[in-house]
Amino acid sequence: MPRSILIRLLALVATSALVASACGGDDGPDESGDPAGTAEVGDVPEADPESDLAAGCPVDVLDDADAPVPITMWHSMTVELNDALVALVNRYNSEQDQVDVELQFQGGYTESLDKYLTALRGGTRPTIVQLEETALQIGIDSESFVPMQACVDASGYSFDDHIDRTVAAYTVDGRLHAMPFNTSNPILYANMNMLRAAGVEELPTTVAEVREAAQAVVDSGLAPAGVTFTTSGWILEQWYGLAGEPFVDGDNGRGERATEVLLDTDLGHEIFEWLGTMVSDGLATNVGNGENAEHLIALATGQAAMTLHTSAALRSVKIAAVDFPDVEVAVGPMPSFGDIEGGTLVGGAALWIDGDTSDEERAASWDFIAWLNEPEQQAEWHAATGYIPIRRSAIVLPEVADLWAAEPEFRVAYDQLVAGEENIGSAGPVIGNHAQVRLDAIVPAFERMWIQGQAPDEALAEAKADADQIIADYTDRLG
Amino acid sequence: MQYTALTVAAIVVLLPIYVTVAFSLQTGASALDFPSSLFPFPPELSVFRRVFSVGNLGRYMLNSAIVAVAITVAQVLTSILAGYAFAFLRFPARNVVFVGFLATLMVPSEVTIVANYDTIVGFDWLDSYQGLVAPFMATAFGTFLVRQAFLAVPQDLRDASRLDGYGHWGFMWGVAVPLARPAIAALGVFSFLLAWNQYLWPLLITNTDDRRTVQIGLKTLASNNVNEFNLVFAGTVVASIPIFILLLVFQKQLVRGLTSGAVKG
Amino acid sequence: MALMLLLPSLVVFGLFVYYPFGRTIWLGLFRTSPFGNRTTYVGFEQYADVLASSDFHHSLWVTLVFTVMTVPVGLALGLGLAVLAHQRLSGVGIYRTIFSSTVATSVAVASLMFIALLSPSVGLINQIIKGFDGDPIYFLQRPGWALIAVAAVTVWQNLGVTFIVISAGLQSVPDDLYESARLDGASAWMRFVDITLPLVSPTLLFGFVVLTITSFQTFGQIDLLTGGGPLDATNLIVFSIYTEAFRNFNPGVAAAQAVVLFLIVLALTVVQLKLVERRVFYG
Repeated sequence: MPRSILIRLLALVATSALVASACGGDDGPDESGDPAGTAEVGDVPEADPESDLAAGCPVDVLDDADAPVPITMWHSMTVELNDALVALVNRYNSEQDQVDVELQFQGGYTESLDKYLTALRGGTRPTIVQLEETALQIGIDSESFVPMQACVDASGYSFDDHIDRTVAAYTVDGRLHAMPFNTSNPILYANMNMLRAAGVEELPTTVAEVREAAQAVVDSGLAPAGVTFTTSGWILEQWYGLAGEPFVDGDNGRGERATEVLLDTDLGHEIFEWLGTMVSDGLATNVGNGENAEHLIALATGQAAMTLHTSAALRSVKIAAVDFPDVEVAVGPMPSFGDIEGGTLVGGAALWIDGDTSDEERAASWDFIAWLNEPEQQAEWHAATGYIPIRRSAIVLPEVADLWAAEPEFRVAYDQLVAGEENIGSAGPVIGNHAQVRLDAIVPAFERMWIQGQAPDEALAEAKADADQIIADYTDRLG
Repeated sequence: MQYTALTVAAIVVLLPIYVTVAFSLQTGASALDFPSSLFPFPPELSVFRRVFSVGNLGRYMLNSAIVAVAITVAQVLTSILAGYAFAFLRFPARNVVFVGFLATLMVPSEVTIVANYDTIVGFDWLDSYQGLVAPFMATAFGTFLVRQAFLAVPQDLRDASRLDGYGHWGFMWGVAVPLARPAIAALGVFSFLLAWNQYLWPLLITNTDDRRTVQIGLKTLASNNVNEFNLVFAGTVVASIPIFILLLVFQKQLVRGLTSGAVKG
Repeated sequence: MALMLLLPSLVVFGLFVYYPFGRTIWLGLFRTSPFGNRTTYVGFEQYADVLASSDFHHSLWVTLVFTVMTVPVGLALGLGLAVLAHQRLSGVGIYRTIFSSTVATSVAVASLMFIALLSPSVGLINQIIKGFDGDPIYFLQRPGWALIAVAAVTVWQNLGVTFIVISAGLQSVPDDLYESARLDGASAWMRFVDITLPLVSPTLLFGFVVLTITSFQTFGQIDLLTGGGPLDATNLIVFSIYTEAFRNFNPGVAAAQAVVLFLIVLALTVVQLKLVERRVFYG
């Protein structure tokens, strides 16, 4: 057989293998919100103007409405993020007269979600609410939102210019439920001055290198620890995403409703072991839940040299660092456990449209949300915060291009997200009461391990038992 | 010698207040250097302006003021009316009602928050002044306090006023209330203080800056400005100033209100 | 006429005390879905579950420990301050005002002021420690310290009230008693133990019961400082009720816990009524 034909055949086999693995289940959408298996990772929804959903978001009524249509948006942005959001909203309100957006700060993501769910039982509901990425399943289960797909269909919106993963993250069963807006990634923040003084010339890229660097810092006596940890649960899920492994069963909760956390794997044990020994060996300090940015402040005050945190804080960190001249802020991708088979999860939050709204309000909301997704706005948002610009064409806009030339730290999160391999692991877990799993199972496990010295394997076992129980309880109460 | 003990005690008591004020007058790194962090010279006063602009503390304090005044007025009025009934009137089932009032002292508001929340939602009073004020418009403590004061009104005055043709209403506002003024003033100051300092209920039912009271406003300020702690501390100082002023001006009434249960028993 | 006068109060009580109390007991009998749209009757089984749950026992235990930490210390400190300020010295009025000053602090104000002392990065205590090259103490992030920190905030915040109340009680002690005791050669300590303490005991007892009941109602400090953690170390019972109702969306469980809280507070109030009548020296 001629060589060229052989090569072409091999290529064909390879591609069809890829295609075969990409096409999975085939059940239709489920009434109860159980994702029934067609949610292929990497599925970016298409607009279908003929769909039944489109009637739920008649975007054209905006032109006929008594302007301006007032809408409210609940959000959780603080400090510079808040400033940037306010600036965007003010500009939107002043540049057109069909919609008037009122921002209402509702505390952190958890508090905001709690308030929204409480409001479902009777109370004022906002038009738009910004919910963390973990709220996907509970948003679907509540059946209280207008699926964003409705507006996508009605307006014929195209996601060609979006970074696929940011949209796919919120798509289940080919249906988009929320629109991405502020997308972030965890990155490594470091005080390069301290690292160099300890003999570490380059930022660590694997957790083994992090450990070495921390050891160097501690050995040199420059700081009491090399790294600061917070007791937040997302870091665990991010490492699963990087490794391309699902965090829960049921195809990471996207094929079927999740019933257990897959902590009892080699990766899970490796992670707990690493986290546990870093602290017990005196190389890392646990600073609590990080809500007061203690893990970052520790870098500023010379208590440690490295920490992991969301890329969204980059602008704020750089501004704060001005006050601390002996800290040189360096930023790198999230250190991995071994080879990167997946990618960091799409973090941050997305915007949901509440269902208790009039047609005008929905049209108005869609107008605003689509505006926020435009390249110019994403560029401005990115430069003011550190959130990743989710529009590909945004990165060639001068605002972003110049920023990246002058401050290359800002492209770290973007590069990291785009480089991610799309698979079931990097799509991220979908769990009903995701926040509660983190708060009541993972966080206490870390606390027991770091504060009470519980052995990592035991902490992991208890975390799994707790998490499975929490998931089962939620599913049970759903009825 | 006694002065030493007094002064040491005073320093310990005032320390948190002093530190908060000192930190609020500095920014960034300077506030982290002990001991200079305790002596902010020159003081950075611009932060206090930001407390009102960025921190919106003006609105929060206005809300607290509206709510506290409303609650105080309502509590004083209902206590006067009910106290009068218990002190001067004979009516059937008087003891039962008395015990009923007493019973409300046994049910702390924390126990009924879930049900009360549902009630407020039912009236569509979430995030409203009515929702903040309504549950607290009456008080058994206040009623008993005023009743006590009314009971001290001499019998002859009562007889005299009846002879002069004054009905209950005239007697209440013409004689009894003026005579009970110290107790009523004490109740007023005390009610205001408690209402201003409420935390759990405003947390539950306010969602927007429009109606947030200052205590919850402080929480919002703190979580919203994690990196600017001098702003948070400045807000704390500002939020407490009205009550400090209240304490200084109405010290006597405040003391009386607090001790009315203690000394007589 | 009487009805007219009592009606406003009774309406408020009816709507916001009697009715919700009954409804809370009723709520405890149902299991609710996370979105509030489906409820199933489970009867007293939910109460039994709550009473048996180790999380609930833990909350009760933590609340008890907290009470033991704050009440005696608070009373002792208040008494100490009151005795100190009871002396006839010039300028003592200033000290009295200083000692009463914390009555003006709310839970939020007191909590935030203590962050200025306790924060691992900006807190004064840790600044001092850092000056001595020590490692920062994570007061609010370590289970051992967290409850102590919250207790300290509470004791400090209550100092003003306890001081004022006990001072008033002290003032009712006749001076001639002290005079004659001094003439008899009694030392300051003996005068304190034999005269002050017994005569101030009704006030102390009142303070004891009020502080205890208040400590079972603690919420704001937890919400602002620790969020119930770490590891539930500060998950006092009112906070637990709040989280169950408004975070885990389990109003049934929250209601059951609330009813138990009520019974405890009731028992304490009854204790007050009994003890104050009997054990107090009225001499």
